Amino acid sequence: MEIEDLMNEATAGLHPSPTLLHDVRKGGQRRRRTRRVVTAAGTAGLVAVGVLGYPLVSGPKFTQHYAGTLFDGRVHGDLKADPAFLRDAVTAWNASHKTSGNASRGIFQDLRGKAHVVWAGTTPAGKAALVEQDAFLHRHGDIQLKHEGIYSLLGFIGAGADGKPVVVGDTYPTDPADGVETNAWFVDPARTVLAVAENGGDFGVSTGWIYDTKVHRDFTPIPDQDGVGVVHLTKPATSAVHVAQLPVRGIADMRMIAGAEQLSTNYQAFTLPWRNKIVLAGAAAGTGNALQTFAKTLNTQILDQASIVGYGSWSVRGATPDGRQFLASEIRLENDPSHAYVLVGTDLVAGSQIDPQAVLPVAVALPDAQGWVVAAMGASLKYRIGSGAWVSAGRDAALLPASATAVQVTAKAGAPAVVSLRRS
Amino acid sequence: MRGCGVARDDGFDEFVIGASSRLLRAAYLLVGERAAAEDLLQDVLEKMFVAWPRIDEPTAYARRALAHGATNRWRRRSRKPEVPLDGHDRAAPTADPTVRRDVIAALATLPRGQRAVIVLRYFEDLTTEQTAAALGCSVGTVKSQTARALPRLRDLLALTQEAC
Repeated sequence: MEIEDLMNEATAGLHPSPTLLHDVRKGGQRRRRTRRVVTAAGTAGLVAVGVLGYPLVSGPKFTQHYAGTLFDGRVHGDLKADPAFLRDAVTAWNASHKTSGNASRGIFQDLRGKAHVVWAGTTPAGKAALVEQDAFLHRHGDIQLKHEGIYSLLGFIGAGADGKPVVVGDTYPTDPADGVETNAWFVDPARTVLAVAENGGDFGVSTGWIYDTKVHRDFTPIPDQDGVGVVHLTKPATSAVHVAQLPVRGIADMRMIAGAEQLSTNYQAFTLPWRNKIVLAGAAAGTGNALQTFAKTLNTQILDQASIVGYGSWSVRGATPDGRQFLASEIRLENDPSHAYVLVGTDLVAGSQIDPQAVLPVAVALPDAQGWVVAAMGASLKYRIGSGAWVSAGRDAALLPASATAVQVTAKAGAPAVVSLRRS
Repeated sequence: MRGCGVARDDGFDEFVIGASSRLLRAAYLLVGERAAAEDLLQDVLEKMFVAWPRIDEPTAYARRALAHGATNRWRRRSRKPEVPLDGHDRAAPTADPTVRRDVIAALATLPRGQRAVIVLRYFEDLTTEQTAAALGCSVGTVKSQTARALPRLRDLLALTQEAC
């Protein structure tokens, strides 16, 4: 492979942040203002700079509204005839602008007309609503607009801790080239109920990656109830919850969820810091870069839905009793904790979630009674079968017999600890 | 409207949207760290925003600014070699992480001038003349730096491919 090909491959898929343009404009404006103020110290006439820094286009020449059945001018949802709730929802919306994350983008500075509810419904977590209001959006350093003009704003209303309507988030129409649209919101503070403005489309929800022989997500279709679907999650959401338009072909089909901003996982706490490359007996020589092969195989198994993928910097290579080469390492998707994986021949074998604090962080049972791949870097390892004698398995990592039932792990300057081997 | 600011219809947004992916990749090869590459690119684009009315060839301008920015960064860091990425870099989802690591590690062994020449010549596909113009040096310098850097890179990357 030539240098140019390698450099292209090394940077394939590297894309700027979706906020790059807006960040650049914001930073550029700041630089320009600073420069003008400096200049103005000697040239008084240049001090006057517009608040927004841009010449404004006169008149609303451009409009962009949401379309579809949900925005046909009627109120949808089973609470459409609950005037008190509709009023409360609009009141919550009107009171929310100053504290909105979009306030700095100036989207509320030139509101037009009155806010109205487009959907109001009952959910397992309380009442929810979707509010719409027009606003004239002006050019601004914190907003990406191709045109100034009248846009629809949406307010996502959930149920607060006291049950009263509270604005979970708001949005305005997003150009697909500039970012991902928000069409879902968590109704309750515990984030157990999700509402999705489907607007006649088909949407699904995934609660996380499934680590199996294929790493994948399953998207469960969300029934559309008069324009909005409601999902009751079985447990509080994590950052792994995704909403997407069906059929899911890639990241472009994903949607943002209002109220999910605070959800995150400190994945580094669940990632092994190892860099060891362990070669066990039977490992083939001259097979090229083994981790590269591992990564390529996993890449072919992963849907184009993961925005961040990491692979382990460690590996354990060897051969199974039936003669197949294997390689063990770890994989991390998005904010998930790492998971151990073993590539046996061309087949992937899923291990469990990585716990770096565990006595034995890696223990993966290979299929067809080919044994256990175990690893605890820096430790000496022994195993036994049933109540048999302990058998030395060397240091750092080993392939143990399939009949092994326990591993004794002795870290440097540590007491031996015994870990049972159980197939999940 | 040009002259007193960057209006939305003067092509700046389109330039950023259209060129930023390629420029980020070049920046990444120049500095070897994604976060640093993003910072460098944003810095360059912000300067371009201010100077936009006076920029006639935005892509060439951006390449030149990236190369100079990377060079200045190296100077600020006393030419400390970049640390190769580990397997958990917040990097491209479709890129092969081991290829990425090997390429960045190999580029990090080159002096800054050679590294910039290689990136512009073989990633940006510039001619020797265009590379010389971008870096503000002579065509002979580009040729000699290419001649020194290329065999070294090929050796390093071939060795890496064989190693396990």
